[in-house]
Amino acid sequence: MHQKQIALTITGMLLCFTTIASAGLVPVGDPVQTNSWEQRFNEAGAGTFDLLAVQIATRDTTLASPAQKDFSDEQWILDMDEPTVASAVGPATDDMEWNVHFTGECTDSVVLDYVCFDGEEIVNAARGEWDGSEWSVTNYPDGEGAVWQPDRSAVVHCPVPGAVLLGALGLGLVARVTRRLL
Amino acid sequence: MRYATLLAMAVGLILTASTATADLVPVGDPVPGGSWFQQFNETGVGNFDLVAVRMTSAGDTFEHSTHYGFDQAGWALKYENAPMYPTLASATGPAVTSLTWTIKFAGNNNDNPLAFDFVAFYGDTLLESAHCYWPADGTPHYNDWVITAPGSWSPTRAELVPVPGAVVLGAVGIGLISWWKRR
Repeated sequence: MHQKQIALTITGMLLCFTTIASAGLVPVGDPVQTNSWEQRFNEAGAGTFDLLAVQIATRDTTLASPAQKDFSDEQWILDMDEPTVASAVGPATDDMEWNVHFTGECTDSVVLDYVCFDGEEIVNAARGEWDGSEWSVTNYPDGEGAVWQPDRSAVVHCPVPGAVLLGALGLGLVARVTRRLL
Repeated sequence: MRYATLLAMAVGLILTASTATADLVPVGDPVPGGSWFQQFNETGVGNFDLVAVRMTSAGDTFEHSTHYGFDQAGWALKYENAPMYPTLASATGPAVTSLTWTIKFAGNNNDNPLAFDFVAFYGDTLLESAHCYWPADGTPHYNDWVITAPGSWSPTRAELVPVPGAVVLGAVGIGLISWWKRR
C-alpha cells in the first residue's frame, strides 16, 4: 500500500514536471472572428481636394481600422482613424477612388457623412445611406445644406505634443551650442 | 450631316452633365472582410521580456495592433514592420515568467490556413522558438493549432526592436556637433 502511494506520488510529480517543461506557447480559448466590410467610393467633379473625411451617423455601426484604404493615388494616407471619424490626406487631386471600411456585416444598415476639403474650404459634402443592399447618396456641393460641416482642424490629427516638445528642445539645444561655439 | 452634329452635341452635353454631377458615388458592390484574434499563453521558459511573431505563410498578415490585451502590467506592442497589416511584430515589458495576451490576424479564421513563427527573449538571449500552424478546417477551435518547438526562426533582439529613426537622427546630430566643434 505504502509502495503504491509512493509510486503514485512520483508519477504525479513526473506528470507535473512534464507539463511545465513542455508548456511554452499555448493557445488560450477559441479563436474569435470579427467581421468587417468595405465599400469603394469615387469622388470627382467637385474640383481639387486634399483631404477626405467620413463620419458614422448611426449608433450601431463603427468604422473598422484602417477606416479608409486602397487609395487610387498611392501618395494619399490615412490621417485620423477613430471608430466614428476618419480622414485621409494627400496631394491635391480632382479624382479619387478609395475604400471605406466598416465593422459588422454588409447586410447591416449604415448612414455615413462625408466631406472633402481643398485647404480650409469644403468643396463637397455628402450623406450616404446604406440599407443593407443599396446605397442612396445625396451630395451637397460646397457643403451647403449638409448635416456635417466640420472645420478642417476637427478632422486632422494634431502633431504629437511629445514630438513637438522634443523638436523645440532640440532646436534650443542646437541654438545654445551654436552660440557657444561662435 | 446635321444629324451627326446633333448627335455629337448631345453626347458632349451628356458627358459634361455626368462630370458636373459626379461628386461622391459608390463603386461596385460592398466587399466582406474581417479579422480574427487568438489568445495565447507563454510560460515554462523562465523569465522573458520580449515576444515576437513572424508570418511565414505567403499572402497572410497580422493586423494592427498585432499584440494586445496583456495580462501583465507594463507590456505593450513594441514594433510592427507595416502600419496596418504587418508580417513581423514584437512586444516588450518587464521580465515575467508567464504572459497571456492576444494576437490579431487579418482575414477569416475558417477558410484561410496560416503559419507563423514565435520567439521569446530575455535580454539578448533567445529562450524559445516555436512554429505555429492554423489549418482553418471546419469550426474554429483552439485544439486546431499545431505548435511545434523548437522552431527554425532565430532572430537577434535587434531585428525585433529596431532603433527608432529619432534616435538615429539624434546620434547623427550629436556626431555633427562634435565634428563642427573639433573644426
